[in-house]
Amino acid sequence: MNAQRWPQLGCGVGLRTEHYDSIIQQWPAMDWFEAISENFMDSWGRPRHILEQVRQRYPVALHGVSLSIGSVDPLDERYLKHLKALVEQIEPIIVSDHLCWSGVDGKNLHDLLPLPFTEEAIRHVVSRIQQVQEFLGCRILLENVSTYVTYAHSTLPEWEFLATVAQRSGCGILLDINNVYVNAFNHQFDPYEYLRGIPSERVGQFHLAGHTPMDGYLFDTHSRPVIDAVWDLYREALRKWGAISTLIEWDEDVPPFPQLAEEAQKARAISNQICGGAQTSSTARHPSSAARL
Amino acid sequence: MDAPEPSLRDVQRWIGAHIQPETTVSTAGDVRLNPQRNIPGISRLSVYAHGYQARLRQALAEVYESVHQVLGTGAFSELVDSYARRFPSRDYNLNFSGRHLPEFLVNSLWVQRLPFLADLAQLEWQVCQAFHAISYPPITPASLHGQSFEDWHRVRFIFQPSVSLVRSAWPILDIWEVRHRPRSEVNIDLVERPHNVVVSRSELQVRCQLVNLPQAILLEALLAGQTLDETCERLSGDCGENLPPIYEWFFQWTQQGWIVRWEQTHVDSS
Ligand SMILES: [Fe+2]
Repeated sequence: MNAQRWPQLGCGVGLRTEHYDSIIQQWPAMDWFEAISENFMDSWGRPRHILEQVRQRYPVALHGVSLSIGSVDPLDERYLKHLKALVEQIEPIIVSDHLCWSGVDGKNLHDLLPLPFTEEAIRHVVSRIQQVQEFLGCRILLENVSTYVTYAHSTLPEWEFLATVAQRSGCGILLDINNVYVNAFNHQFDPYEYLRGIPSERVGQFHLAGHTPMDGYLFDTHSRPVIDAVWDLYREALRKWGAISTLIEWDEDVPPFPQLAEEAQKARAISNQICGGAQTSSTARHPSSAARL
Repeated sequence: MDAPEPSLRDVQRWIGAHIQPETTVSTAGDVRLNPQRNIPGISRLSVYAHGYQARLRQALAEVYESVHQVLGTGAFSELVDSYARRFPSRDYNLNFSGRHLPEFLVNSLWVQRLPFLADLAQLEWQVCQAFHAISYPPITPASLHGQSFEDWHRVRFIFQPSVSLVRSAWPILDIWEVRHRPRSEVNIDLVERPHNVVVSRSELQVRCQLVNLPQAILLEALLAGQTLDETCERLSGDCGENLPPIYEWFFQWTQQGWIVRWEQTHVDSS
């Protein structure tokens, strides 16, 4: 079971532009929201205003896509300063990003690109995570990304790479269950073996999302409901680690808010069934901010 | 003998060169990818190359709605692709990856066909900037009253970061305002209709409004950090005997919350 070193927020959804109006008009019941850091860290207009209001009523996690923790370029100081300012203002419950790289030689490829699973990459990433955590003054979670290629010179399976990075750096794991499923199909491994390889005390959050079958591979589109096989994997994760903060991601063809909330409710019901205890949606919870170092 | 394993830097440069082939030269040796089911791993890199292209097109279409509408989706995609080759993104924030598009358009073939396009892009970029800009408490109209005429002419006015001016020989505001209508319903007379547009933000709403030429000249100079003294000479040259109602304008600007403060300039006593 999870050692409860990470706050258990229940089941939430991503804060998306399409839902701003319905959220601030209705303040719907929802356990928590996850906001994409980059959509708010450089904005002092409406997006920031909405986030501030949401934060007054719900727990919020800040989820970044541009940390580029695995890049060989130096860490982007401007990015980190802006992120830190946002963290200090919003006081998120969780700060997270991805175990990947996004650019090299100063050019940004705006993607979550795969790292080779090697000792060199582990050493590189671990030292950078420590710098980031030191700078931000809090532990971060890193997410496993969906990938479409793997490197012939990798020496470890993905789950061992992820687990080693987390254990050596002290960061937590945001385990995207859909990404495990997508990669298991694309690279032909057993997703349950992946789960078995992840140390329980490191898992701080789950992501659930839909994907799209393409010609010969699965594409992580976040444009559909979660499929049954991914719900099964989620059940297994809950049996293994207990209730863990769970988030439904939906970024393309975004449905009306009630449909998204239904998907979160489905996750909540599964979690209650397996882990016991009724998680309740709330509009007035004030847990403490991100875990301090 | 086996080739040495590629370093992390080699891997990233090699992948970068496959995603942005026109702007990145791979100095790395061969990086081997595992086959993906029945196809070579390298073929699967197209997922990332297409993703990069699609993401930039989408991000720029969100900022440059009107340019997108004028060109249509096919031509807009071509524009973004050629822009990305000339200005590969160096910004961590995808939302701002289109910051150089107006500059790119000025010297491009696109403006030969659509001469207003660079100005229209500039207007849309300023709208985007205003939408995200920080807002400071403005000065009030009443606070202007205590200033003597001489003081007024020597101070530098500091405007809200959201306030900017776009001057164009074309009716760019008219074109921008119909950006959500179907292209076929748009019929705008382009000839000899220059627009000077002030972009600002009131509360959370971005506003675009037309100003006349003398007001545009004055605002342009003040936004560039000049004092009224420095500007008036140019203004009287442009406006002849008819002195523009500067104080009335200032009153309107402060009413709209555009001015944040003023700074005394140092008088050279030597
Ligand atoms: Fe995810």
